[in-house]
Amino acid sequence: MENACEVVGLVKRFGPKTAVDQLSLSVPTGMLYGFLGVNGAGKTTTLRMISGLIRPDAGEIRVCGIDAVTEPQRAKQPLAYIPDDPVLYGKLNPMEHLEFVASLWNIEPKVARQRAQELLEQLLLWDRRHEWIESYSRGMKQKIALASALIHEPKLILLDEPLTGLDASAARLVKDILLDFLREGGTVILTTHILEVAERLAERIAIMSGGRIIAEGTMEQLRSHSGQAAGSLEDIFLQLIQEQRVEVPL
Amino acid sequence: MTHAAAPTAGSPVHSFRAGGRLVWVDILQGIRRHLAGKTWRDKMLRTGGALFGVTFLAALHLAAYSLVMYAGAGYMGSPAQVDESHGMRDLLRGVGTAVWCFLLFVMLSGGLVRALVVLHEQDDSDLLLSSPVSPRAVLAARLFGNALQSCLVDGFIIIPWINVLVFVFGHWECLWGYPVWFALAIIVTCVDGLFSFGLIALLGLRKARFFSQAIPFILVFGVTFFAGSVSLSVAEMNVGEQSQMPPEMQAHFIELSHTPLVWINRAASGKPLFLAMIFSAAAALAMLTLRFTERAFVEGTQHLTENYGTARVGVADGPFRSGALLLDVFKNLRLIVRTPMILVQCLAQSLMPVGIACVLGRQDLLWAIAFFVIFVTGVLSGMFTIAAGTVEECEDLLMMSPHDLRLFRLGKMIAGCLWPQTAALFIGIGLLFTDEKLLACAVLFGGVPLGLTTSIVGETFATAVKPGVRPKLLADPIMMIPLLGMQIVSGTVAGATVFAASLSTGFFLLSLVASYLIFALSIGLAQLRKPLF
Repeated sequence: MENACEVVGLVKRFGPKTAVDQLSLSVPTGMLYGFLGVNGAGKTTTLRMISGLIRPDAGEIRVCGIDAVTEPQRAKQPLAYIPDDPVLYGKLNPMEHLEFVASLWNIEPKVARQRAQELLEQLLLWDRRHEWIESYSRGMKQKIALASALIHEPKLILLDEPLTGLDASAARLVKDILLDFLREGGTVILTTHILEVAERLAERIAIMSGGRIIAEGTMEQLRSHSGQAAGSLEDIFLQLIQEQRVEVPL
Repeated sequence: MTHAAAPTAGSPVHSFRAGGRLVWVDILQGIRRHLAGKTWRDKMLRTGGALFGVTFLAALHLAAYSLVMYAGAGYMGSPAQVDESHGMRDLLRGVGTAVWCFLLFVMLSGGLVRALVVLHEQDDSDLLLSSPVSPRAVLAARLFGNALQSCLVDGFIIIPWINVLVFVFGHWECLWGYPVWFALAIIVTCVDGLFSFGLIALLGLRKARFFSQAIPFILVFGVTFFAGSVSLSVAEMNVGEQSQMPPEMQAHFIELSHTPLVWINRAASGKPLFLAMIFSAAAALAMLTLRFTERAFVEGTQHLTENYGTARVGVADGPFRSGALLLDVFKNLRLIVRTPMILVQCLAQSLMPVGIACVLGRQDLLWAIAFFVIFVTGVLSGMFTIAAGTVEECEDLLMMSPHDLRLFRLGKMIAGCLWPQTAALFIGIGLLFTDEKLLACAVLFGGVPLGLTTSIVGETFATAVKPGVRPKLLADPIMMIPLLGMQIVSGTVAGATVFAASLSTGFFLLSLVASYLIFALSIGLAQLRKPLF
């Protein structure tokens, strides 16, 4: 199976601090890949490097087979990145916002309008399309951020904490959209602190600590790695993080 | 959902189009921000603002016309030492150069803060830089938008001058002034942009912001000192008694017309060689800026995200109890003191009139002190009030507050006024012990309403503090407009009050009445915008 994202020996330093340290991973196409870790583990920095926002100090990144370090603009074409606190243009209505985002990916205006309408209908926002985004609730804004990511029909979506602050129905809707995207061959890499979500949705999970992946695999593989045959992801996560802390005292 | 074949993105044409759209989105949002609000209060304030703007511009047109006439009449009435037409041309060139240089200075001083905000602190960088559009195109769009903003904000200086030359005196070639105006804005934006990147590279973002706040005001201090000296020289020339420019002053302007600065004026009057020089300089600087700062632009935005993203939580110590106005006031006072950025700004703002005060002080120290104290009371009361609502911890405070926004606002205003008013009170009482009783009254009865006025204006117009909304920092260009307004009002009131006090008691009382009318007006406007009571 072709890899949607492949990372080898990734390193990023901010001054004396090494945020990501020799990180390697492969995410096959059509998979939802979960990134877990405590705050400051290096998850967001990794996603930002894959999305081309930060240049790595060392290592290779390939997005859909394209080298993201040497050809960053081409590698960004099949990619969408939604940060944990996505910024939307508050004084635009959702149609204008989506059309602008589509223009960044060089989508024809007519196609963009049609896609924007489809997405807004799917996200149940079509009736409020004339209102400025600033008047939307947090959940509605998150939906618009998701629509912005989907407007150019990406092959790989990077999501940083996509469910933070959403109510149950909005969270459910976001999950459904992601599952639809996966069914149609898309790939998702997401970071989350909600371990149940990762356990239920992700086919493979990486647990990061101190800029490194300390465990990676399916739920079964993680269970066997941690020696907890019937453990939940929360149990496994806490045990691995604890072991790591004992191993490398701060 | 189907996956379409990837269109060709990231090409120069696509990047150019995307950059253009980004500029348009920024403009559209700016226009909507100003036209937002459909209540009768909003409409009334917008209409009032528009009327004020039109009146202000009309007055500046009249001033530009008077300046040309004054210079022209002055020359005609003086003994010609050089060929008449030649001398007249040099004189007007010198006056024009002075106007263009003033524009350049204002653009440069304001542009540095704008450069930091526009180039390094935009929230949408994640979206733009994770798209296939080249970062250089994004940077170019940002620089272009910044230049456009610089043009719009400082346009009031040059538009009347160009219009008067073109439409009143029939110098149609001076229409070139408009493109030259934009070319200057590009040059200034690039210089400020390069300087801001340099500052960040040397000092880091936080310190760069810190210094960028102070530098423009230090420049302004220099200019006010210069302006003060000029006004003193002008006073010594007995200009008030003449309707024409005295020969000594003409000589200064003629001298200015023989410096390289005159190139701007010559370009603005359509001289091809100088136009080519200005436009080439703008293009070359733009290319250099794009070439050298692209990497820093991308890395800079990430530096911001990594190190500057979240507000410090819980720095404000002590509990915030419901209904405790006194606690609110003390909390705000503490917040003002603890934010170095605000203190630097306040210091810098206070420096501005020092130049004029020093020059005045050469003739009469008490006169200068009174002027300075009234001005500073006005500016600092407004600034401290804004500061109490813009510091990072403000959001925490509002979250902890009992949702009584009006009480919170009152606390901000009291905290803002407290120190400047107390200082004014002490200095006013001190002046009572001198022979200048009228000046003491000017400080006590002129400074106090001025401080209250700017505090109300600062609270009403400068920020929209709402729970859950991240407060704007003082560097935000939107914040600069109320600040500028406060400076103009404070300077005018301080100058008028002290000047009236030096003339007679009658004039002084009249100036006080005007001050209290402005105070009443501020309350009225506040009631319209965000009711105080």
